[in-house]
Amino acid sequence: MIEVGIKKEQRLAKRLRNGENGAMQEFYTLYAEQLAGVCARYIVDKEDMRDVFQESLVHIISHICDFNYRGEGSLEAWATRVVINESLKFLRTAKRQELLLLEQDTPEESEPEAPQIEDISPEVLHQMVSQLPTNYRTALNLYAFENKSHKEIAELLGIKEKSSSSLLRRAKDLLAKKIKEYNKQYHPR
Amino acid sequence: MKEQWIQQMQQKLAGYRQPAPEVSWDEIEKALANNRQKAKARMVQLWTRRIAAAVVVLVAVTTGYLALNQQEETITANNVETEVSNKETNPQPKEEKIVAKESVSHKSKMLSVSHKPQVLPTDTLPSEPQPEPEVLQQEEAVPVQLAEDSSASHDEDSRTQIANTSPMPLPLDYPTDVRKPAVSGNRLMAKLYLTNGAMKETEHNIPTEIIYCYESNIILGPDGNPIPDTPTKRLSDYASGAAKSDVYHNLPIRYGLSLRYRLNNRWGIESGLVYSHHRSDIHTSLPTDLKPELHVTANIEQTLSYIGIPVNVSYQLWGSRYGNLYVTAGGMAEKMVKGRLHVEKSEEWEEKTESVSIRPLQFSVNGAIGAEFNLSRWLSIYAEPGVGYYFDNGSSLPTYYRDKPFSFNLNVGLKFNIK
Repeated sequence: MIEVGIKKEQRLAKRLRNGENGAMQEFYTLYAEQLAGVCARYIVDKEDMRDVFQESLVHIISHICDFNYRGEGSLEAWATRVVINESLKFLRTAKRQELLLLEQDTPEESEPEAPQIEDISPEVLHQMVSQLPTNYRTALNLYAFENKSHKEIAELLGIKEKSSSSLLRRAKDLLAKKIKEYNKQYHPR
Repeated sequence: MKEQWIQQMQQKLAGYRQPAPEVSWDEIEKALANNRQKAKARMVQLWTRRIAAAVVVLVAVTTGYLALNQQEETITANNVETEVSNKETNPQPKEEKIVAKESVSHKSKMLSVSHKPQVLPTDTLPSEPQPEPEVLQQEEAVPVQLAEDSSASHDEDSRTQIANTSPMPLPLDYPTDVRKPAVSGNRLMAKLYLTNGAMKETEHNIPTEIIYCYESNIILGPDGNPIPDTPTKRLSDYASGAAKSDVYHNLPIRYGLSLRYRLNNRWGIESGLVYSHHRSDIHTSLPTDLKPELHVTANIEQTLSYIGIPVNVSYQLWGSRYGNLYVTAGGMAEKMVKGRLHVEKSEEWEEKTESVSIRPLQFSVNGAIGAEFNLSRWLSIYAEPGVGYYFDNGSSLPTYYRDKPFSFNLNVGLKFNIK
């Protein structure tokens, strides 16, 4: 089917709303990999990630009436938000303990020295983020990719604002260390 | 401000994709069906609650008003009796005095008022004692007379005059006051009725585009039955604003149950529950100039059900013991509770049933003139020809209300005087 320009998303949303056969498959073909990439940033375990991803699709179909078209890319942005919300919902319930885990005795450290990431592929970078502990990873994702403030992160994770800034600093520190080690090993200068 | 390397990371991973996990469409379907059921249950629950709340408020207000009114009646009875007692000292024609005294002293007994009946001087008593059943019969009528007169001036003289016009002894089967309708004592009545639009069915054209833009999701598209060259296009994709559909609205039928409370002799207030059923036939045909091979027609039967709460005020123009004439006016809020579209398409097109909904409430105002005939003291029949105006609630569904905002109707029913 030939869909033209800016109306493509709008029309797809309308077809989803109408419950048309084939609309969901088309949506899946267009956006599944992108949404899976976002979901995997939050949920590492494959089984969990599949469940959350599936739950996100259910939410997208059943709440498509709430979607308002606001220009090109708005359907993808809206669907991404749904995936993030579903991921956070899962983390807040199933991984509650991991989210709250905070090493109190770790000494306060200053901001890490900025690592060089130009030579690192997205896949490797994604893997490094995935390897961070759940609470670090979640805080970093919300900060780096969703542009959330400390306060917003704290609210989303149900922790104190001070804890979220602490989590974030440690997440950045740990990630910077990983990148530096990787660079030392694979891109010695 | 984000660190530069974090920004770089954000850009690097912005378009990151990975193979999507295999999802189970069966599970997704089940979850969706489950969600729909829950949403439906929530809606039903919400409306049941709202209607229940409205009924509770109505009952509370009516009960409160009744209770207040009962008190007023008691007080009025006291006052009248005192007045009468005072007047006893004045010289009055014998017969008049007997009637007035009798009525009031029985009344005081009935309402358990603390005033004891005055002992009359022997010369004011009737020469022959009144038979007991007649006295009892009068008791029924007296409170009404008192209550009604309380709204007007408590003119003792006028009452004695009325009493004077009544033959002695009073007839057994009529209240004391013959000016009033026979049922004037009933303040609360229940109505059971049927309303039908009194206007001829309507038929007119609406753009096909509207048909396809229902909130409802009607899909006239092939869904597996391919249109040549366009396996997944909806039929609506070919329909333009120029295409026409004929909509034929059948007369809506309305069943109602309501309570009417009489505020005084002339004014009454009424509310209850109303169920309306609407059926429309829509015939749509696609324009041949766009895709000649696609000239198909579809017949859609649209049925909508509404539940409404009316509030009306009525004013009695004329009344006798045989019945009365009145005018009534008010408003109503209706909620569409069930909607269904049954689509039958020509040729290779399949049949399909879809549910539809209209979220906003439908508000309307109405006025009618009514004639009521008393069949007995407790039961009467009535007919109310009237007019109604339905406000636009923004629905894109072609409804009788939307297409015929101003309409005539005939309401017939039974009234039960319950108190």
